[in-house]
Amino acid sequence: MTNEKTFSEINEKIKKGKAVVLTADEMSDFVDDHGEDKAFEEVDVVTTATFGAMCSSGAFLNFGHADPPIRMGRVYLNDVLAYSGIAAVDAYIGATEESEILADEYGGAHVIEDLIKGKKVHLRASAKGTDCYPRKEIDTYISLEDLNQAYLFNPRNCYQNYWVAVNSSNKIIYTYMGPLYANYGNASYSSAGQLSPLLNDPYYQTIGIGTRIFLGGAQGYISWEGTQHNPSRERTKNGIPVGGAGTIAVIGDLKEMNSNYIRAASVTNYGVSLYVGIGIPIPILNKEMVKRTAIRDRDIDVTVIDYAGGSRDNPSLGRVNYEELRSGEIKLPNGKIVTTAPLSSLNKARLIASELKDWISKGDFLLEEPVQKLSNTRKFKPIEMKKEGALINDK
Amino acid sequence: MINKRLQLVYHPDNVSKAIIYDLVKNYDIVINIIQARILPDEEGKLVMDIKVSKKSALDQALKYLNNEGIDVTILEKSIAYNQEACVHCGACTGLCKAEALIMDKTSWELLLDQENCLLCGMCVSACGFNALSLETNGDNYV
Ligand code: SF4
Ligand code: SF4
Repeated sequence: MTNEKTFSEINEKIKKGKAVVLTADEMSDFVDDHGEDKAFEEVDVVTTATFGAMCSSGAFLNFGHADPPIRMGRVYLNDVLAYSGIAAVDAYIGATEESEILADEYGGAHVIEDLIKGKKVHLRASAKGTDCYPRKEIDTYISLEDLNQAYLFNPRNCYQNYWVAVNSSNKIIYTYMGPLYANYGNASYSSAGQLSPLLNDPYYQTIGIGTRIFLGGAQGYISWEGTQHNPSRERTKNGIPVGGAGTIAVIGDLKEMNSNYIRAASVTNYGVSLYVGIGIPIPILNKEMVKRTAIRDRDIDVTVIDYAGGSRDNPSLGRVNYEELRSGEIKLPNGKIVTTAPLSSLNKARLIASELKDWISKGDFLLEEPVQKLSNTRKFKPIEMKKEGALINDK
Repeated sequence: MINKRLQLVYHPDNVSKAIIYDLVKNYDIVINIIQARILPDEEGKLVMDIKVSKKSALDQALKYLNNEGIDVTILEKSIAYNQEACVHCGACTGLCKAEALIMDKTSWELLLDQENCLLCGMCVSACGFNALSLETNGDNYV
Protein backbone atom coordinates (compact mmCIF):
# COMPACT_ATOMS: atom_id res chain seq x y z
CA MET A 1 0.00 0.00 0.00
CA THR A 2 1.34 3.43 -0.94
CA ASN A 3 1.12 6.47 1.29
CA GLU A 4 -1.28 8.29 -0.99
CA LYS A 5 -4.67 7.53 -2.49
CA THR A 6 -6.16 9.56 -5.34
CA PHE A 7 -9.65 10.88 -5.96
CA SER A 8 -10.01 8.59 -8.96
CA GLU A 9 -8.93 5.48 -7.03
CA ILE A 10 -11.49 6.26 -4.38
CA ASN A 11 -14.15 6.96 -7.01
CA GLU A 12 -13.45 3.56 -8.63
CA LYS A 13 -14.17 1.93 -5.27
CA ILE A 14 -17.34 4.02 -4.83
CA LYS A 15 -18.59 2.95 -8.28
CA LYS A 16 -18.06 -0.70 -7.35
CA GLY A 17 -19.88 -0.18 -4.08
CA LYS A 18 -16.68 -1.07 -2.21
CA ALA A 19 -15.68 2.24 -0.64
CA VAL A 20 -15.50 2.35 3.14
CA VAL A 21 -17.25 5.48 4.32
CA LEU A 22 -17.45 6.71 7.92
CA THR A 23 -18.95 9.84 9.43
CA ALA A 24 -16.49 12.16 11.17
CA ASP A 25 -17.89 10.98 14.52
CA GLU A 26 -17.26 7.36 13.59
CA MET A 27 -13.80 8.19 12.24
CA SER A 28 -12.69 9.57 15.63
CA ASP A 29 -13.75 6.32 17.30
CA PHE A 30 -12.18 4.18 14.59
CA VAL A 31 -8.81 5.89 14.95
CA ASP A 32 -8.98 5.58 18.75
CA ASP A 33 -9.75 1.87 18.48
CA HIS A 34 -7.53 0.81 15.59
CA GLY A 35 -4.89 3.49 15.12
CA GLU A 36 -4.05 5.80 12.25
CA ASP A 37 -2.32 3.23 10.00
CA LYS A 38 -5.27 0.90 9.97
CA ALA A 39 -7.63 3.85 9.44
CA PHE A 40 -5.63 4.95 6.39
CA GLU A 41 -5.68 1.44 4.98
CA GLU A 42 -9.36 0.85 5.50
CA VAL A 43 -11.22 4.14 5.30
CA ASP A 44 -11.75 5.89 1.98
CA VAL A 45 -14.12 8.75 2.77
CA VAL A 46 -15.20 10.62 5.91
CA THR A 47 -18.46 12.55 5.78
CA THR A 48 -18.82 15.86 7.64
CA ALA A 49 -21.88 18.07 8.04
CA THR A 50 -23.46 21.10 9.59
CA PHE A 51 -26.98 22.53 9.88
CA GLY A 52 -27.09 26.12 11.04
CA ALA A 53 -28.09 29.70 10.35
CA MET A 54 -26.43 30.91 7.17
CA CYS A 55 -27.65 34.44 6.53
CA SER A 56 -25.62 34.92 3.40
CA SER A 57 -27.89 32.80 1.21
CA GLY A 58 -30.37 33.27 -1.60
CA ALA A 59 -31.67 31.89 -4.86
CA PHE A 60 -31.63 32.86 -8.52
CA LEU A 61 -34.98 32.38 -10.23
CA ASN A 62 -36.06 32.63 -13.84
CA PHE A 63 -39.80 33.18 -14.30
CA GLY A 64 -40.13 32.82 -18.08
CA HIS A 65 -41.81 35.40 -20.34
CA ALA A 66 -45.39 36.66 -20.30
CA ASP A 67 -47.17 37.86 -23.45
CA PRO A 68 -46.75 40.75 -23.96
CA PRO A 69 -43.41 40.43 -22.20
CA ILE A 70 -42.12 42.47 -19.29
CA ARG A 71 -38.64 43.57 -18.31
CA MET A 72 -39.16 43.35 -14.58
CA GLY A 73 -38.05 46.35 -12.55
CA ARG A 74 -39.20 45.76 -8.99
CA VAL A 75 -40.07 42.18 -8.14
CA TYR A 76 -41.94 41.02 -5.04
CA LEU A 77 -42.39 37.42 -3.95
CA ASN A 78 -45.01 37.13 -1.19
CA ASP A 79 -44.31 40.83 -0.53
CA VAL A 80 -40.57 40.25 -0.14
CA LEU A 81 -38.43 42.33 -2.49
CA ALA A 82 -36.24 40.29 -4.84
CA TYR A 83 -33.31 41.85 -6.68
CA SER A 84 -34.06 42.09 -10.37
CA GLY A 85 -31.32 44.29 -11.73
CA ILE A 86 -30.33 41.31 -13.88
CA ALA A 87 -32.04 40.73 -17.24
CA ALA A 88 -35.77 40.78 -17.90
CA VAL A 89 -37.20 37.87 -15.93
CA ASP A 90 -34.34 36.85 -13.64
CA ALA A 91 -34.32 37.71 -9.95
CA TYR A 92 -32.31 36.93 -6.86
CA ILE A 93 -34.26 36.41 -3.69
CA GLY A 94 -32.00 37.05 -0.70
CA ALA A 95 -32.64 35.06 2.47
CA THR A 96 -32.56 37.98 4.90
CA GLU A 97 -34.82 40.38 2.97
CA GLU A 98 -37.94 41.00 5.06
CA SER A 99 -41.57 41.12 3.97
CA GLU A 100 -42.96 44.62 3.52
CA ILE A 101 -46.11 43.47 5.31
CA LEU A 102 -45.03 40.89 7.91
CA ALA A 103 -41.58 42.38 8.60
CA ASP A 104 -39.23 39.92 10.35
CA GLU A 105 -41.87 37.21 10.68
CA TYR A 106 -41.48 36.35 7.00
CA GLY A 107 -38.66 36.95 4.57
CA GLY A 108 -36.68 35.70 1.61
CA ALA A 109 -35.72 32.56 3.52
CA HIS A 110 -39.40 31.74 3.96
CA VAL A 111 -40.03 32.29 0.23
CA ILE A 112 -37.24 29.81 -0.50
CA GLU A 113 -38.67 27.29 1.98
CA ASP A 114 -42.18 27.72 0.57
CA LEU A 115 -40.91 27.17 -2.97
CA ILE A 116 -39.09 23.99 -1.89
CA LYS A 117 -42.27 22.77 -0.20
CA GLY A 118 -44.10 23.19 -3.52
CA LYS A 119 -46.29 26.05 -2.24
CA LYS A 120 -47.66 28.76 -4.51
CA VAL A 121 -45.86 32.08 -4.20
CA HIS A 122 -47.38 35.45 -5.13
CA LEU A 123 -45.31 37.23 -7.79
CA ARG A 124 -45.77 40.95 -8.39
CA ALA A 125 -43.54 42.98 -10.65
CA SER A 126 -43.57 46.42 -12.19
CA ALA A 127 -41.57 47.86 -15.06
CA LYS A 128 -41.09 51.07 -17.02
CA GLY A 129 -42.08 49.39 -20.30
CA THR A 130 -40.00 49.45 -23.48
CA ASP A 131 -40.76 48.88 -27.16
CA CYS A 132 -39.64 45.28 -26.91
CA TYR A 133 -40.99 44.71 -23.37
CA PRO A 134 -44.21 46.76 -23.35
CA ARG A 135 -45.86 45.22 -20.25
CA LYS A 136 -45.67 47.38 -17.15
CA GLU A 137 -47.12 45.12 -14.52
CA ILE A 138 -47.54 41.49 -13.68
CA ASP A 139 -49.47 39.89 -10.83
CA THR A 140 -49.62 36.12 -10.69
CA TYR A 141 -48.73 33.01 -8.72
CA ILE A 142 -45.71 30.80 -9.30
CA SER A 143 -44.49 27.53 -7.87
CA LEU A 144 -41.12 25.81 -8.07
CA GLU A 145 -42.13 23.60 -10.99
CA ASP A 146 -43.21 26.64 -13.04
CA LEU A 147 -39.77 28.21 -12.82
CA ASN A 148 -37.24 27.54 -15.57
CA GLN A 149 -34.25 27.68 -13.27
CA ALA A 150 -34.24 27.97 -9.51
CA TYR A 151 -30.91 27.51 -7.83
CA LEU A 152 -29.56 28.37 -4.48
CA PHE A 153 -26.45 30.50 -4.67
CA ASN A 154 -25.14 31.25 -1.20
CA PRO A 155 -22.21 33.66 -1.03
CA ARG A 156 -21.08 32.64 2.45
CA ASN A 157 -21.91 29.37 4.17
CA CYS A 158 -20.34 26.79 6.39
CA TYR A 159 -18.16 28.99 8.59
CA GLN A 160 -15.07 27.18 9.79
CA ASN A 161 -15.62 27.56 13.54
CA TYR A 162 -17.43 30.60 14.93
CA TRP A 163 -17.72 32.41 18.28
CA VAL A 164 -19.32 31.83 21.63
CA ALA A 165 -21.59 34.75 22.54
CA VAL A 166 -22.20 36.09 26.05
CA ASN A 167 -23.50 39.38 27.44
CA SER A 168 -21.74 41.12 30.34
CA SER A 169 -24.17 44.06 30.50
CA ASN A 170 -27.03 44.41 32.95
CA LYS A 171 -29.80 44.07 30.38
CA ILE A 172 -30.89 41.34 27.98
CA ILE A 173 -29.76 41.85 24.39
CA TYR A 174 -31.16 40.29 21.21
CA THR A 175 -28.50 39.26 18.74
CA TYR A 176 -28.05 37.01 15.72
CA MET A 177 -26.72 34.55 18.32
CA GLY A 178 -30.19 34.62 19.94
CA PRO A 179 -31.29 36.42 23.11
CA LEU A 180 -28.45 36.81 25.62
CA TYR A 181 -29.42 37.26 29.26
CA ALA A 182 -27.74 39.99 31.30
CA ASN A 183 -24.71 39.27 33.50
CA TYR A 184 -23.48 36.22 31.57
CA GLY A 185 -26.87 34.51 31.98
CA ASN A 186 -26.27 32.20 29.01
CA ALA A 187 -23.78 31.50 26.25
CA SER A 188 -24.64 30.46 22.72
CA TYR A 189 -22.42 28.76 20.18
CA SER A 190 -22.94 27.71 16.60
CA SER A 191 -20.84 24.91 15.13
CA ALA A 192 -21.13 21.18 14.65
CA GLY A 193 -17.62 20.95 16.20
CA GLN A 194 -15.92 17.66 15.34
CA LEU A 195 -18.52 17.00 12.63
CA SER A 196 -18.13 20.41 10.98
CA PRO A 197 -16.72 20.28 7.41
CA LEU A 198 -13.95 22.87 7.44
CA LEU A 199 -12.78 21.83 10.92
CA ASN A 200 -11.99 18.40 9.48
CA ASP A 201 -9.88 19.89 6.70
CA PRO A 202 -8.55 23.04 8.34
CA TYR A 203 -6.08 23.94 5.56
CA TYR A 204 -8.52 23.15 2.71
CA GLN A 205 -6.39 20.33 1.32
CA THR A 206 -9.31 18.38 -0.14
CA ILE A 207 -12.20 20.87 -0.03
CA GLY A 208 -12.09 23.54 -2.73
CA ILE A 209 -13.84 25.10 -5.69
CA GLY A 210 -15.68 22.37 -7.60
CA THR A 211 -16.12 20.01 -4.64
CA ARG A 212 -19.42 18.14 -4.89
CA ILE A 213 -21.39 18.48 -1.66
CA PHE A 214 -24.70 17.70 0.01
CA LEU A 215 -26.71 20.93 -0.08
CA GLY A 216 -30.19 21.13 1.40
CA GLY A 217 -30.89 17.49 0.53
CA ALA A 218 -29.58 17.75 -3.05
CA GLN A 219 -26.19 17.37 -4.67
CA GLY A 220 -24.57 20.77 -5.02
CA TYR A 221 -21.14 22.29 -5.46
CA ILE A 222 -18.70 24.68 -3.89
CA SER A 223 -18.71 27.50 -6.41
CA TRP A 224 -16.13 29.89 -4.97
CA GLU A 225 -14.42 30.87 -1.77
CA GLY A 226 -17.05 32.37 0.52
CA THR A 227 -17.29 36.07 1.27
CA GLN A 228 -15.33 37.02 4.40
CA HIS A 229 -13.16 33.90 3.89
CA ASN A 230 -10.47 34.48 6.46
CA PRO A 231 -7.87 31.71 6.60
CA SER A 232 -5.50 34.08 8.42
CA ARG A 233 -7.41 33.79 11.68
CA GLU A 234 -5.15 32.77 14.57
CA ARG A 235 -4.91 28.99 14.84
CA THR A 236 -4.06 26.58 17.64
CA LYS A 237 -1.19 24.07 17.19
CA ASN A 238 -3.47 21.54 15.50
CA GLY A 239 -4.33 24.07 12.78
CA ILE A 240 -7.79 24.90 14.11
CA PRO A 241 -8.74 28.59 13.83
CA VAL A 242 -10.03 29.96 17.15
CA GLY A 243 -12.98 31.84 15.62
CA GLY A 244 -14.77 32.46 12.32
CA ALA A 245 -12.26 31.71 9.54
CA GLY A 246 -12.74 29.91 6.21
CA THR A 247 -16.05 30.06 4.35
CA ILE A 248 -17.42 28.69 1.08
CA ALA A 249 -19.88 29.88 -1.55
CA VAL A 250 -22.21 27.08 -2.62
CA ILE A 251 -24.61 26.37 -5.45
CA GLY A 252 -27.33 23.78 -5.94
CA ASP A 253 -30.68 23.09 -7.60
CA LEU A 254 -33.62 24.22 -5.47
CA LYS A 255 -35.85 21.80 -7.39
CA GLU A 256 -34.04 18.86 -5.85
CA MET A 257 -33.93 20.16 -2.28
CA ASN A 258 -35.89 18.97 0.71
CA SER A 259 -37.22 21.22 3.45
CA ASN A 260 -35.97 18.76 6.07
CA TYR A 261 -32.51 20.11 5.35
CA ILE A 262 -33.15 23.77 4.63
CA ARG A 263 -35.39 25.92 6.80
CA ALA A 264 -36.32 29.55 7.28
CA ALA A 265 -35.97 31.14 10.72
CA SER A 266 -37.06 34.41 12.32
CA VAL A 267 -34.64 35.49 15.00
CA THR A 268 -36.39 37.70 17.58
CA ASN A 269 -35.49 41.39 17.34
CA TYR A 270 -32.89 40.57 14.73
CA GLY A 271 -34.42 39.33 11.51
CA VAL A 272 -34.77 36.51 9.05
CA SER A 273 -32.16 33.87 8.30
CA LEU A 274 -31.91 30.59 6.45
CA TYR A 275 -30.82 27.38 8.17
CA VAL A 276 -28.88 25.39 5.58
CA GLY A 277 -27.82 21.77 5.80
CA ILE A 278 -24.45 21.07 4.20
CA GLY A 279 -22.51 17.84 4.05
CA ILE A 280 -18.99 17.55 2.63
CA PRO A 281 -17.11 14.33 1.95
CA ILE A 282 -13.42 14.25 2.77
CA PRO A 283 -11.32 11.71 0.87
CA ILE A 284 -8.71 10.03 3.04
CA LEU A 285 -5.88 10.70 0.60
CA ASN A 286 -3.08 10.31 3.13
CA LYS A 287 -2.31 9.90 6.82
CA GLU A 288 -2.57 13.62 7.38
CA MET A 289 -6.25 13.49 6.47
CA VAL A 290 -6.67 10.59 8.90
CA LYS A 291 -5.35 12.79 11.67
CA ARG A 292 -7.43 15.77 10.59
CA THR A 293 -10.70 13.88 10.40
CA ALA A 294 -10.11 12.10 13.72
CA ILE A 295 -10.37 15.43 15.54
CA ARG A 296 -12.59 15.60 18.63
CA ASP A 297 -14.64 18.36 20.22
CA ARG A 298 -12.08 18.66 23.02
CA ASP A 299 -9.36 19.53 20.46
CA ILE A 300 -11.35 22.42 18.98
CA ASP A 301 -10.94 25.72 20.79
CA VAL A 302 -13.23 28.67 20.25
CA THR A 303 -13.15 32.25 21.50
CA VAL A 304 -15.82 33.60 23.83
CA ILE A 305 -16.95 37.08 22.80
CA ASP A 306 -18.83 39.64 24.88
CA TYR A 307 -21.61 40.97 22.64
CA ALA A 308 -22.68 43.67 25.12
CA GLY A 309 -20.88 46.51 23.40
CA GLY A 310 -22.35 46.02 19.92
CA SER A 311 -18.99 46.91 18.42
CA ARG A 312 -17.03 45.43 15.52
CA ASP A 313 -14.26 44.62 17.93
CA ASN A 314 -16.28 43.12 20.76
CA PRO A 315 -13.84 41.98 23.46
CA SER A 316 -12.68 38.39 23.82
CA LEU A 317 -13.12 36.69 27.17
CA GLY A 318 -10.78 33.76 26.51
CA ARG A 319 -11.25 30.34 24.97
CA VAL A 320 -13.18 27.17 25.68
CA ASN A 321 -13.51 23.96 23.66
CA TYR A 322 -16.56 22.24 22.17
CA GLU A 323 -16.52 19.38 24.66
CA GLU A 324 -16.98 21.95 27.43
CA LEU A 325 -19.67 23.75 25.44
CA ARG A 326 -21.54 20.48 24.84
CA SER A 327 -21.45 19.68 28.57
CA GLY A 328 -23.97 22.49 29.10
CA GLU A 329 -21.74 24.72 31.21
CA ILE A 330 -18.49 26.61 30.74
CA LYS A 331 -16.23 28.40 33.16
CA LEU A 332 -14.94 31.69 31.85
CA PRO A 333 -11.44 32.90 32.77
CA ASN A 334 -13.14 35.59 34.90
CA GLY A 335 -14.57 32.79 37.06
CA LYS A 336 -18.16 33.03 35.81
CA ILE A 337 -19.96 29.72 35.28
CA VAL A 338 -22.27 30.10 32.29
CA THR A 339 -24.88 27.70 30.88
CA THR A 340 -24.44 27.00 27.19
CA ALA A 341 -26.82 26.26 24.36
CA PRO A 342 -26.18 25.51 20.69
CA LEU A 343 -27.80 27.40 17.82
CA SER A 344 -26.96 24.96 15.06
CA SER A 345 -28.53 21.52 15.16
CA LEU A 346 -26.14 18.65 15.86
CA ASN A 347 -29.06 16.28 15.47
CA LYS A 348 -29.63 17.40 11.86
CA ALA A 349 -25.89 17.58 11.13
CA ARG A 350 -25.58 13.92 12.12
CA LEU A 351 -28.53 12.99 9.90
CA ILE A 352 -26.86 14.76 6.98
CA ALA A 353 -23.48 13.08 7.60
CA SER A 354 -25.16 9.66 7.60
CA GLU A 355 -27.31 10.40 4.58
CA LEU A 356 -24.23 11.50 2.63
CA LYS A 357 -22.47 8.36 3.83
CA ASP A 358 -25.36 6.29 2.43
CA TRP A 359 -25.25 8.07 -0.92
CA ILE A 360 -21.53 7.43 -1.28
CA SER A 361 -21.69 3.83 -0.03
CA LYS A 362 -24.42 3.06 -2.56
CA GLY A 363 -22.44 4.62 -5.40
CA ASP A 364 -24.93 7.47 -5.92
CA PHE A 365 -22.44 10.23 -5.12
CA LEU A 366 -18.92 10.50 -6.53
CA LEU A 367 -16.18 12.72 -5.18
CA GLU A 368 -15.06 15.69 -7.24
CA GLU A 369 -11.48 16.88 -7.06
CA PRO A 370 -11.30 20.67 -6.57
CA VAL A 371 -10.51 22.57 -9.75
CA GLN A 372 -8.96 25.30 -7.63
CA LYS A 373 -7.92 25.48 -3.99
CA LEU A 374 -9.36 27.93 -1.49
CA SER A 375 -6.95 30.65 -0.45
CA ASN A 376 -4.83 29.86 2.58
CA THR A 377 -3.51 33.38 2.97
CA ARG A 378 -6.36 35.84 2.38
CA LYS A 379 -6.97 38.42 5.09
CA PHE A 380 -10.40 39.75 6.00
CA LYS A 381 -10.34 43.54 5.99
CA PRO A 382 -12.74 45.90 7.75
CA ILE A 383 -14.34 48.79 5.90
CA GLU A 384 -12.62 52.10 6.49
CA MET A 385 -14.82 55.11 7.03
CA LYS A 386 -13.52 57.70 4.63
CA LYS A 387 -15.65 60.55 5.94
CA GLU A 388 -16.04 61.67 9.51
CA GLY A 389 -19.21 61.21 11.50
CA ALA A 390 -20.21 57.60 10.86
CA LEU A 391 -20.14 54.71 13.31
CA ILE A 392 -18.28 51.63 12.20
CA ASN A 393 -20.59 48.71 12.70
CA ASP A 394 -19.85 45.47 10.92
CA LYS A 395 -20.94 41.93 11.66
CA MET B 1 -51.52 25.50 47.52
CA ILE B 2 -53.50 25.20 44.29
CA ASN B 3 -53.17 27.90 41.62
CA LYS B 4 -55.77 28.23 38.89
CA ARG B 5 -56.78 30.79 36.35
CA LEU B 6 -60.55 31.06 36.00
CA GLN B 7 -62.78 32.81 33.54
CA LEU B 8 -66.21 33.74 34.91
CA VAL B 9 -69.08 34.75 32.67
CA TYR B 10 -71.94 36.56 34.40
CA HIS B 11 -75.43 36.85 33.04
CA PRO B 12 -77.56 39.99 33.30
CA ASP B 13 -79.47 38.56 36.26
CA ASN B 14 -76.44 37.69 38.41
CA VAL B 15 -74.16 40.62 37.61
CA SER B 16 -75.17 42.41 40.77
CA LYS B 17 -74.30 39.58 43.16
CA ALA B 18 -71.30 39.91 45.50
CA ILE B 19 -69.61 36.82 44.13
CA ILE B 20 -66.01 37.82 44.79
CA TYR B 21 -66.79 38.76 48.38
CA ASP B 22 -68.32 35.35 48.94
CA LEU B 23 -65.36 33.55 47.38
CA VAL B 24 -62.91 35.34 49.65
CA LYS B 25 -64.97 35.17 52.80
CA ASN B 26 -66.61 31.77 52.62
CA TYR B 27 -64.04 29.76 50.70
CA ASP B 28 -60.82 31.43 51.80
CA ILE B 29 -59.66 32.04 48.24
CA VAL B 30 -56.92 34.54 47.38
CA ILE B 31 -57.89 36.40 44.24
CA ASN B 32 -55.92 38.36 41.70
CA ILE B 33 -58.10 39.87 38.98
CA ILE B 34 -56.44 39.86 35.57
CA GLN B 35 -59.23 41.19 33.40
CA ALA B 36 -62.75 42.38 34.14
CA ARG B 37 -65.62 43.78 32.15
CA ILE B 38 -68.83 43.83 34.11
CA LEU B 39 -71.62 46.29 33.40
CA PRO B 40 -74.95 46.52 35.25
CA ASP B 41 -77.73 44.49 33.57
CA GLU B 42 -75.42 43.14 30.90
CA GLU B 43 -73.33 40.05 30.40
CA GLY B 44 -69.94 40.35 32.15
CA LYS B 45 -66.59 38.60 31.96
CA LEU B 46 -63.89 38.28 34.55
CA VAL B 47 -60.52 36.51 34.39
CA MET B 48 -58.70 35.91 37.65
CA ASP B 49 -55.90 33.89 39.19
CA ILE B 50 -56.90 32.18 42.40
CA LYS B 51 -54.97 30.52 45.18
CA VAL B 52 -56.67 28.05 47.44
CA SER B 53 -55.18 25.76 50.07
CA LYS B 54 -57.17 22.57 49.49
CA LYS B 55 -58.76 20.80 46.56
CA SER B 56 -61.99 20.41 48.57
CA ALA B 57 -62.26 24.16 49.07
CA LEU B 58 -61.75 24.69 45.34
CA ASP B 59 -64.46 22.17 44.52
CA GLN B 60 -66.89 23.82 46.89
CA ALA B 61 -66.16 27.25 45.46
CA LEU B 62 -66.70 26.00 41.90
CA LYS B 63 -69.98 24.43 42.99
CA TYR B 64 -71.06 27.68 44.57
CA LEU B 65 -70.33 29.61 41.35
CA ASN B 66 -72.26 27.03 39.37
CA ASN B 67 -75.27 27.32 41.66
CA GLU B 68 -75.19 31.08 41.25
CA GLY B 69 -75.56 30.60 37.50
CA ILE B 70 -72.08 31.70 36.54
CA ASP B 71 -70.27 29.93 33.69
CA VAL B 72 -66.79 28.99 34.87
CA THR B 73 -63.94 28.00 32.62
CA ILE B 74 -60.66 26.80 34.10
CA LEU B 75 -57.92 28.19 31.88
CA GLU B 76 -54.83 26.02 31.65
CA LYS B 77 -51.73 27.68 30.30
CA SER B 78 -49.04 25.54 28.82
CA ILE B 79 -46.14 25.59 26.44
CA ALA B 80 -47.21 24.12 23.13
CA TYR B 81 -44.45 22.31 21.25
CA ASN B 82 -44.70 21.63 17.54
CA GLN B 83 -42.24 18.83 16.90
CA GLU B 84 -42.68 19.07 13.12
CA ALA B 85 -41.39 22.62 13.14
CA CYS B 86 -38.51 21.91 15.53
CA VAL B 87 -35.02 21.45 14.05
CA HIS B 88 -33.49 20.49 17.42
CA CYS B 89 -31.09 23.37 17.35
CA GLY B 90 -31.24 23.85 21.11
CA ALA B 91 -31.44 27.65 21.09
CA CYS B 92 -34.43 27.60 23.43
CA THR B 93 -32.60 25.59 26.10
CA GLY B 94 -30.22 28.44 26.88
CA LEU B 95 -33.11 30.69 27.81
CA CYS B 96 -34.99 28.17 29.94
CA LYS B 97 -33.82 28.58 33.50
CA ALA B 98 -36.43 26.11 34.79
CA GLU B 99 -34.84 23.16 32.96
CA ALA B 100 -38.17 22.45 31.31
CA LEU B 101 -36.34 22.41 27.97
CA ILE B 102 -33.15 20.42 27.76
CA MET B 103 -31.14 18.70 25.05
CA ASP B 104 -30.78 14.93 25.21
CA LYS B 105 -26.99 14.65 25.36
CA THR B 106 -26.94 11.46 23.29
CA SER B 107 -29.41 12.10 20.49
CA TRP B 108 -29.21 15.92 20.69
CA GLU B 109 -32.98 16.10 20.45
CA LEU B 110 -35.02 18.59 22.41
CA LEU B 111 -36.83 17.29 25.48
CA LEU B 112 -39.72 19.22 27.03
CA ASP B 113 -40.85 18.63 30.60
CA GLN B 114 -44.09 20.59 31.12
CA GLU B 115 -43.97 19.92 34.87
CA ASN B 116 -40.93 22.17 35.28
CA CYS B 117 -42.25 24.97 33.08
CA LEU B 118 -42.82 28.33 34.77
CA LEU B 119 -44.61 29.77 31.72
CA CYS B 120 -42.12 32.61 31.51
CA GLY B 121 -42.29 32.60 27.70
CA MET B 122 -38.58 33.20 27.10
CA CYS B 123 -38.18 30.10 24.95
CA VAL B 124 -40.86 31.41 22.61
CA SER B 125 -38.64 34.35 21.69
CA ALA B 126 -35.59 32.10 21.35
CA CYS B 127 -37.14 29.79 18.76
CA GLY B 128 -36.84 31.03 15.19
CA PHE B 129 -39.09 28.28 13.87
CA ASN B 130 -42.30 29.00 15.81
CA ALA B 131 -42.01 25.55 17.36
CA LEU B 132 -42.87 26.87 20.82
CA SER B 133 -45.83 28.98 21.88
CA LEU B 134 -47.63 29.85 25.08
CA GLU B 135 -51.16 28.54 24.87
CA THR B 136 -54.19 28.97 27.02
CA ASN B 137 -56.68 26.14 26.86
CA GLY B 138 -60.02 26.36 28.52
CA ASP B 139 -61.85 23.49 30.24
CA ASN B 140 -65.46 24.25 31.01
CA TYR B 141 -66.46 23.50 34.58
CA VAL B 142 -69.97 22.14 34.74
S1 SF4 C 1 -41.92 29.13 29.22
FE1 SF4 C 1 -40.05 29.56 30.43
S2 SF4 C 1 -39.95 27.88 31.89
FE2 SF4 C 1 -41.42 27.25 30.34
S3 SF4 C 1 -40.22 26.04 28.90
FE3 SF4 C 1 -40.23 28.17 28.13
S4 SF4 C 1 -38.38 29.11 28.98
FE4 SF4 C 1 -38.75 27.22 30.15
S1 SF4 D 1 -35.32 26.69 19.53
FE1 SF4 D 1 -37.12 25.89 18.44
S2 SF4 D 1 -36.26 24.62 16.80
FE2 SF4 D 1 -34.61 24.97 18.28
S3 SF4 D 1 -34.71 23.20 19.67
FE3 SF4 D 1 -35.95 24.82 20.59
S4 SF4 D 1 -38.02 24.41 19.85
FE4 SF4 D 1 -36.65 23.26 18.52
